[in-house]
Amino acid sequence: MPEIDRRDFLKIVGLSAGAAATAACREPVEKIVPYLNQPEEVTPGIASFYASTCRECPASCGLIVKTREGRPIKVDGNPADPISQGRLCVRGQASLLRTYDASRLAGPLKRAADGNLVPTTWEDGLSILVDKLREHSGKVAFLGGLETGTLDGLIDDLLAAIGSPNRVRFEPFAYESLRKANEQLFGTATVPQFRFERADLIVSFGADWQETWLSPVKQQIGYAEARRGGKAFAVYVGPRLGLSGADMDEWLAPVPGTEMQLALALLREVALVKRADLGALSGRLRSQTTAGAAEATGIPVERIRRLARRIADADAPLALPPGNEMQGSNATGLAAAVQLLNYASGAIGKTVVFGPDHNLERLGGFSDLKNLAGRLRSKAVGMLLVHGANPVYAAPALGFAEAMASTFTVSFASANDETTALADLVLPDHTPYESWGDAEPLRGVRLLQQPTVRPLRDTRATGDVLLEAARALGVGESLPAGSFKDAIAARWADVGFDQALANGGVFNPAPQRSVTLSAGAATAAFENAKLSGEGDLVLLVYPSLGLYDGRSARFATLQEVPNPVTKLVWGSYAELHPDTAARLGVEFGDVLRVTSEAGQLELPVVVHETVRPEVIAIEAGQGHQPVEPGAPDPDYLKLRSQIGANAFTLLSGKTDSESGALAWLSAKVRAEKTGAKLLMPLTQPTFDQEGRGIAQATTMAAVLGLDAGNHHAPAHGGEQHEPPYADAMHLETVDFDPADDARSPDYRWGMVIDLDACTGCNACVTACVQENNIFTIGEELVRQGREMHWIRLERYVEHHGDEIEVRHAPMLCQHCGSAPCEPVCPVFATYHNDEGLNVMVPNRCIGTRYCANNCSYKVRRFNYFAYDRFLREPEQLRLNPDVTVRSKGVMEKCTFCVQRISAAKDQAVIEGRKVRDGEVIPACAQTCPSQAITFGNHKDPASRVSKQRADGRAYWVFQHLNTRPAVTYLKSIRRGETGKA
Amino acid sequence: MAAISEAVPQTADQYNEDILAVLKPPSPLYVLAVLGLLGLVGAGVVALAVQTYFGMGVTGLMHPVMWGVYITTFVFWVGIAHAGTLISAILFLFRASWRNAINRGAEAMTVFAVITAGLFPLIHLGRLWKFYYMFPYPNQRGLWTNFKSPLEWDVFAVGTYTIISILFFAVGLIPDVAAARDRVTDWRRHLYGILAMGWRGTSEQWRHHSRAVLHLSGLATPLVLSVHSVVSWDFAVSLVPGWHTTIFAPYFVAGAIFSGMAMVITVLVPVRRAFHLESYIRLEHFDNMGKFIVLTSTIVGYSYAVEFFMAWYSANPYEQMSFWHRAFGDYWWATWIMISCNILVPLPLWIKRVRMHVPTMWVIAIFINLGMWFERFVIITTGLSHEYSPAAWGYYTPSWVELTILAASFAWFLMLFMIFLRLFPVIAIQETKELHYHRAEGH
Amino acid sequence: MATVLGVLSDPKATAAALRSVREAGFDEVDAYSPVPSHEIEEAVARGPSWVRAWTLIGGLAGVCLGYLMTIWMSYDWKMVVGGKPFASIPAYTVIAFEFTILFGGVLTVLGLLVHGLALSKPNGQAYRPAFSSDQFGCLVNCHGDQIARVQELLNQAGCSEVRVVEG
Repeated sequence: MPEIDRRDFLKIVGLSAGAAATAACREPVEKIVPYLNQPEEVTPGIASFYASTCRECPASCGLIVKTREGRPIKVDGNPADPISQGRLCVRGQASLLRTYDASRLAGPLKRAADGNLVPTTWEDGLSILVDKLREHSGKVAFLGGLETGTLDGLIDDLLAAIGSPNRVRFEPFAYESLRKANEQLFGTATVPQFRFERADLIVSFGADWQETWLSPVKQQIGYAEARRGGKAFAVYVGPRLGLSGADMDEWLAPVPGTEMQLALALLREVALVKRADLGALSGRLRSQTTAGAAEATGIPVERIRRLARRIADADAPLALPPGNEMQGSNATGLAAAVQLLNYASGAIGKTVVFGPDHNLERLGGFSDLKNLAGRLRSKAVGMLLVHGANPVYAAPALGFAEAMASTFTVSFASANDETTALADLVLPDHTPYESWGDAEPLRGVRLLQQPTVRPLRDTRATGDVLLEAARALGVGESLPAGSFKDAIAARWADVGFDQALANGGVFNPAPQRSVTLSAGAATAAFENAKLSGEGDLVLLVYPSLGLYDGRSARFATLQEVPNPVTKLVWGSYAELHPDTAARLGVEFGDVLRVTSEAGQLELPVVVHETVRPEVIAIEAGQGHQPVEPGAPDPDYLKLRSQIGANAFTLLSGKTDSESGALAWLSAKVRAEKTGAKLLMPLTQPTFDQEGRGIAQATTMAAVLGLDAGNHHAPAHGGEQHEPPYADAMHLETVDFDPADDARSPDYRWGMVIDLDACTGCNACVTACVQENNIFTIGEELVRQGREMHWIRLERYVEHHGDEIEVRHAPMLCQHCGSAPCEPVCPVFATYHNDEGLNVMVPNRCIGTRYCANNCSYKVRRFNYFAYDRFLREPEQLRLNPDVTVRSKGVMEKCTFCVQRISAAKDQAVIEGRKVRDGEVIPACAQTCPSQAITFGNHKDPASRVSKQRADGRAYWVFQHLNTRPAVTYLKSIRRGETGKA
Repeated sequence: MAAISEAVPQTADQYNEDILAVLKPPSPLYVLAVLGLLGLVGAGVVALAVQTYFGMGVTGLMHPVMWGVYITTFVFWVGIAHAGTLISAILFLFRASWRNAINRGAEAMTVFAVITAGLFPLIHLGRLWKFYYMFPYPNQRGLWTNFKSPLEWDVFAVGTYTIISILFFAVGLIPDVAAARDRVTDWRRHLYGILAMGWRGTSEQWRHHSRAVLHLSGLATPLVLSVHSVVSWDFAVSLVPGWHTTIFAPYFVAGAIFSGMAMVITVLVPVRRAFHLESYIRLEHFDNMGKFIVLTSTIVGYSYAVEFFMAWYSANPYEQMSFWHRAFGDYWWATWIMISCNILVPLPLWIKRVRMHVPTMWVIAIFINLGMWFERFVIITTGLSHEYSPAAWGYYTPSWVELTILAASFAWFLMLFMIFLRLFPVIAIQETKELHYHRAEGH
Repeated sequence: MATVLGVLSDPKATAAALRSVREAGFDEVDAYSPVPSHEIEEAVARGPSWVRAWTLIGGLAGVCLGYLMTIWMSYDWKMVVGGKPFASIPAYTVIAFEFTILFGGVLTVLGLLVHGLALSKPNGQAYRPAFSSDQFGCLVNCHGDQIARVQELLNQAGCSEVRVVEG
């Protein structure tokens, strides 16, 4: 028998795994890459990268798409792009799933005589489209999402050409009130950029700035930059402490509806200190006493004063105008008040920058959608084209379903949704990764989007469809010639299309312009939000981190990423304060019936202390119709049956009188117990870390003290959690066996996670899932406690008197120097390699599960079923061929992305050098917008990890167990005196 | 009734007569019972097939409780095995002659219990079909096994224990098989002829035989003590709060003998009744076994107390919470079943009249079996469900698959034992007869 | 050569018979008995059993093999687990111990088979089923001319039956 050593063995394993993965999807690969004459840019086994644009939300981050054998397998931010700066959020990381969606539309559909949507051909579909356009010419309306590129112009041109200039650009999050307020105050109806990175004080008025609000990734990057090293104090104002608020230092929770008074009180105090000239307004402010505000909001006077003082004292304060969850009947007034606060505190021009605005002016809003509904009813519009919008789901109050009944509706959606299900003709668009496109999310920042995979389904780019239609209608000459791609190329010709394509776009933001307070400011209306409906609870609908407005709800992966606050998956829940829960006599899992003027929902209760007692909070984005109406439900992942409930159905469609924005915070609801109780898919049973020092914190003072050199002083300012003997274990922590250490002189891999930077945004979790072929297992299995994520983002709540501090700690394999999991495996399926990695070899594993039992961090995951059987064509194309697909009955866990380490080492060997610091970047570290995760080589004293490890904030979880983890945590820093302080 | 039936046989031939009477053709009831048990075993096989096909997901196991009923049952059966070896080996060395009547039955029980136990480490594997990876055989992967792993120790400890107890059992059987050969007339005569390997009972043969038995007892004694220590190290060498304790080895061995004695009683009482062996398995035996139970029950109870004390005394927050959770947490019910069955129920055995009352002994023994199964369940489950990271606490409930396989293991054990009853003398003829001659000579 | 068989019904008498025969100078004796009996063994007087040696050899072989195997295999493909040395003697002692017992036990039984069953040639014709139940046999080898003498001795020793099984 020929000798096989470990390396050969692993190679063979790797090859076969790769082979398996590729074999699984050979058919499309042949379509994409003719290997007979192989295009030189495609080498089997070598990834090629393309710059493109993320279209999951209007922020439109620049992307780098990694493709293998002609199929995109991973996306990350484009470092050249000033928006994403090489980072991505949880939705961006999952965006590939839209392309590999098993239940996408296979081709065009038309409404048959029997009323069902039936497959048809493109020829037929197009001819119907053209006939109908001709028939309804002049009465055609186009309802779309935010388009800021070539397609936008194309649509306008087409509508103009056929004499139906009915264009509605609808996004559920349209910032109408903010634009209106800016118009009143500064005479410009734009949304300025909020430059977090320049701020030293950040006050958010219910803006979920790192979830959905404006440009989450860019803002999170800025926030991290502003906070680095304990700088920038942050305050969250709002009835519910969501993800964005969780990381901020202080939480002010005014009585819902009274935020205005708080804002005005702050404005008044700040204006006084700063002697800001508010013109006629200052008169109106006199009545707004701080005492009065304290009275109304239920926030102690001194805390309001303290905040005012902070703002006044700050060099570069930043107040964030209200986000959706705080958008009430007074939205414009509140936005104006906050913007005035920025003005008075001198933030305008410093941290609030007009000029390189968010490109939102042309975006319509809820009122436009309302008009459209009216005109559909009045038959003023006879034909409706829908692209990138889902009004039936997003605005139930407007009754689109029946309004569309008498209209001929064409949907260009690439996958079925509520609106498409009612359409008469469906001409599915490519997904963003299959099609050309461009966008200009910020003035002067233009991005290109290019196809990275041959369309997997019989779809066509809507741009091309419209062009063809125009030509068939004989109005082609008023539109660009050639294909939609040509149109884009032509539009980009001035900046050099090819160059732009290579870079991902052209990035020269518009210059900053100064604004002055206009006379109109005096007319701003400052009232409290009106809450209507009977019932004693205030309904708080908040946008979803993972599902945005619900457009991402069809992705199992995102359904399974735990809600950052409740740590629940696969559903929607009614969040109540413990007192409220006690009053209603319900506890975790009890089902509540929530009744508003507009509708009624039944939801299980989640109890946590980070909502105000009079509030009932529900996440938006769930409760979609089954994605394949009427289809049987064999699917383990439950994607074909309704998940959760649609919170929008509880909103009666009341609006902000001035801007016409939908008033999210406007309903009072009645909640009563149904008696039913559900077993909840909960991924973290308790938020109390029992003083075990998993997520530790220190104070600013302690940090400064530590900087003076006194390392591992027990006085970490924060709590001393570990048993007394903990400090006896020390910091040769990564080295396990000197002899073996000598065998690997070059590398000792390690990771440092800065908990002060970590905001708990889940981006790392999703990136890890995408990179490492981690399977999504569905609600039932999560409920049974079989979740597979390699990173568990632990959330802990600490109480300081009546103040609440939320901490996050990403928990992943610690690659312990003396790992408890290794010696207990009878078959060496897990062992320690020369470079400090705790290696897991699935092919050796026989599934005794002893390693998982003995793992103190509980980060090992077991394949209870053959999860690869859950994959539905074409989902398997998404799999990363560099990572083994684990079979049933074996253990798996974080590998520090060993495939990336090998790649970097191979490269280094080819170039005859050692791997450089920062050359190996695991998926989690690569995407983290807060840059909380650093990975590198501890053998190199100059590496960033080595330096950070010496930081006074460094600690090791369960250090007293002497497991000698290779993952170092840096304590979060508690700023200021109170709250998370 | 009892008084009469317990009369000592007068002639040496009577022993052969009585004991070999068991070998008479089985009654329909017996056949029915064996078939019933076989059916249950079949159900277990089906459950195992389901688990192998779909994956461990069909069990109740979850994150973080990755061991459950299977490992519990493994430890339980290994424990049962111990009483047999104790009676046949250790008491032999101590010349406790009362053992002669029950040692055959006890040894048989040992063999079958070990065989049953040995199945569970395989059943609980995620990839059952790769179980042979656990043996250090030369393979194309060039990979040996990890002898630092307690599971690997189990492979060798349980393996050795199985082989040795089978050999011990077989060696003891040779003279009796010869006796059976000389008495039965049907097909079994040939079977016994082969098994007796030409035994004629010459003094030459007896010389080597008694020496071999002596040495095997000498070897089995440390073995029996070691096996359950090794099993206990599966837990003791780990880091899991509630497992990581030095007391485990003696504590488990005591528990093993405790449960084993209980199982001997559970099995022998019906046998004694069914085959009218009252004159061989006598009240004095129950008295002595009762004393063993009282002793071991006390040791076990002491161990429980010490565990809780150390948890408190160590001032280790993880241990403290783990044990608080054990007594008052999710699994309080299991813990209190364990304590009442293992500590309170055996208390009456301090009284001789109770020890001499067979039905009571039997009931108590059954409760002890239950209690000892729950002891292992409590240790394993409560430890795992409440470890270091509060973010990874969980609650485990067994699934129908696990419970079916658990039931099947009992059926399998009883089935083997019943078949043994009809094939071999359940009481060691020559050893009991030895006593007869001693009495005759007034020793 | 001839063999005389005397049948008795308890071990003590059997031993006595054997002793009397041997005092008379007949040393080639053997006995059948349903139970092991020290008196008989002493009367027949064959030194200690060879099985002892088998056990010793087995045990020693086991302990050596146990350590050698584990240590060699650990160095054959060196893998670090839990930062422990490649050869962890305390852990390997468990294996060595189990091997001691295993090999000791197996060889003991082998010894029994070899000496007790394979090498011993019990006299087939002389044997009768009762010897496994309640009767004892006392075998004496002697020259044809001494048969009478032996029978007499056995009768004196109280044999219920005496007869010549050969010659």
